Amino acid sequence: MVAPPVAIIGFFVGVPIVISVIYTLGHVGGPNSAVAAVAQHQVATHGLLTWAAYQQVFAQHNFRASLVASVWVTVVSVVIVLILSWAIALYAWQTNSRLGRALSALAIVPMFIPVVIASYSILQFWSYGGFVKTIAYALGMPNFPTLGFSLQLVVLGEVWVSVPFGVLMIASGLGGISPSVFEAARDAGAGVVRATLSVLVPMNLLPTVIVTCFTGISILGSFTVPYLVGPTAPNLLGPEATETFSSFNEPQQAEVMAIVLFGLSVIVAVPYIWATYRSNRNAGVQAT
Amino acid sequence: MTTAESHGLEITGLTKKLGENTVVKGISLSVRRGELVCLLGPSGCGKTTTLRMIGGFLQPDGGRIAIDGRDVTELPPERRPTAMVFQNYALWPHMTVYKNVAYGLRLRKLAKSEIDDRVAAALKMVNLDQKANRHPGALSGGEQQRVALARAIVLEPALLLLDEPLSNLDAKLRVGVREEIREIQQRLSITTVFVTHDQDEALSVADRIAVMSSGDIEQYSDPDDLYRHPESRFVAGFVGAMNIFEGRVTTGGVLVGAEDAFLPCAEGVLSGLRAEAGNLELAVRLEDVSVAPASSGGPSGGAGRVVRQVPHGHFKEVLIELGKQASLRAYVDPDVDLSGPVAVTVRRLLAYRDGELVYSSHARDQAGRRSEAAAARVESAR
Ligand SMILES: Nc1ncnc2c1ncn2[C@@H]1O[C@H](COP(=O)(O)OP(=O)(O)OP(=O)(O)O)[C@@H](O)[C@H]1O
Ligand SMILES: [Mg+2]
Repeated sequence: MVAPPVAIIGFFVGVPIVISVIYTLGHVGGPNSAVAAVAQHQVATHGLLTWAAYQQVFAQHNFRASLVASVWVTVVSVVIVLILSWAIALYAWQTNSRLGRALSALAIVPMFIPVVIASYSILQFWSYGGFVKTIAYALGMPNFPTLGFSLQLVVLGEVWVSVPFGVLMIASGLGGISPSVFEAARDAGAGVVRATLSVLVPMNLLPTVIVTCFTGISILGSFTVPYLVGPTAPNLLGPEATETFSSFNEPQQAEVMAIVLFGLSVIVAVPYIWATYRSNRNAGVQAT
Repeated sequence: MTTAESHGLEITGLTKKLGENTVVKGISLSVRRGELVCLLGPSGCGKTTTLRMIGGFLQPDGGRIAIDGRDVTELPPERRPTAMVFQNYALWPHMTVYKNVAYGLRLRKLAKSEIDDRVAAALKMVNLDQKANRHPGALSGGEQQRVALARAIVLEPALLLLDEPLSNLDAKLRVGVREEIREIQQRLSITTVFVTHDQDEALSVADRIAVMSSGDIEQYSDPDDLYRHPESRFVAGFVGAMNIFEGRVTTGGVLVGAEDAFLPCAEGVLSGLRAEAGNLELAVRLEDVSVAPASSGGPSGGAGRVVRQVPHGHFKEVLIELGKQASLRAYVDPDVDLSGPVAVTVRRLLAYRDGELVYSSHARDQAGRRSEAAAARVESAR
């Protein structure tokens, strides 16, 4: 029953992957001959496979700087997303007030705004001649810093894009936790912070890990936000690989970068697999 | 501050408004040290709200709460000497049984060896020492309930709060566990407030029972007194099985129902009630009705027919029709044949006017039996 879909996926996804991987390892013939015919600075081997293309890419200062930038932007953005999502969701859960609900509803709004439009707005807001700079200038601060085309602005954009998912996940996770487990911790002598860290965070671990891994992976490989609001270089690997592919006409190097990104994403996914395994092991535990 | 005479728990004028309605209406309650008091009342009468205010999870709108003579009204839950067993147990599913119980001790920064000893002792007390390394998800409902109890008593609280701790258990287990709770409470002599809506549970575990109705305490008495002298129509209907009729007093008995069916009373039962007393609500316990086969040619009054019989082992509950509009229930000897017409007589009777007790055919045996609420009412009436 599952064989046909598996075969279709294997053919349309698996085969291109294999073809790409062997292309990055110097195999330029066969299915790769078309792309190889026009590629620049390509490494070819006529014997077995070779790491030469990887060595070449990693030797580039630009690439290494972009790799560091990608990891930096991802880590900082994920941390901010986690803090914001937890803060909003916790506030709404604890107080169950109108303000709390309004806040968590507001946090979902970015989900309905196309990323391209949001990116341009963010840029317009923060760049030289943008809203913030204009206001600061009018208030007599002509040297007020701008964020246009910087990695900081990329972080801001990534946080904007990712917060809705974070709030949705964390809030729905918290929604399944009965307030009495928190009260029981208070009752046993824990203050609010202690009770949150020792009860709510571990009980809401899976959603937290999901937010961490999935926003991490999506930011690592993101394109639109860094392409529109980020600096020329170093930038995230998404725009970097695109440029390598289309502007420099180096498909082999671009594919090497894609595979490096894939490797990073796999590492980011490890905690998710671990947490899923753990929560399956504890299955049957009542969440109340 | 703590003196020998101070109460384990002293509540005065406690009030709470939730949304539009006042859920707790200025209740006062004193619980002696080591005493187990039940808050008994129908769903929605404010029991949980009261208990949550005592535990510090809700801030009262008015009134004071003192534990062992110390005012705790303003303290957050973590600084009150209380421990609560929640209705849904509220165990932490990511911690083992051991860690659940040890949590509060760890917060108190006790030595590891002392924590181990106290957790082991608490788990032994609830018979769970074999399951210390399980997660709560791998325990039955009754076991989870006992972990929750161990988690509370391991802290040696001055006041133990139990919110319907047995409501998630099946009927048989409920009886067993409530006995265990009572036994442990007695052994440690912890002042305890036990919330329940089950009158059987309250009557069997409590030293005293506070019956609540829509945010007020209707009566605060020991179980025996509560059963024998319900001070309001509400308590009479709520605690224990009771026949309640609208009726009038006449010579030798009462007239009940729309057709004035005559219900004879035994000698002296009506001695304090005048015949012209007007319409009253009359309450008669099922065991206070004598039922016998009607002897032919006997008095026609009190004649009825048994229309339903429910066996309960060593006694039988019967429903008797007295004419078309009146019926009453009674407990009878299962061996007596009641297939023919029967004659009934009332041996004890309580009368209420406007919901308040105005007459009881049997005076309270001892002054000490009188509830504080009744004494207060008598005093204010003087
Ligand atoms: N947040 C709230 N806002 C408004 N009314 C509330 C709120 N919480 C509870 N109430 C009302 O307060 C009343 C008392 O609630 P409480 O939980 O104390 O009842 P209870 O006696 O414990 O009942 P039960 O036996 O069903 O647990 C109920 O009528 C309930 O509808
Ligand atoms: Mg309740």
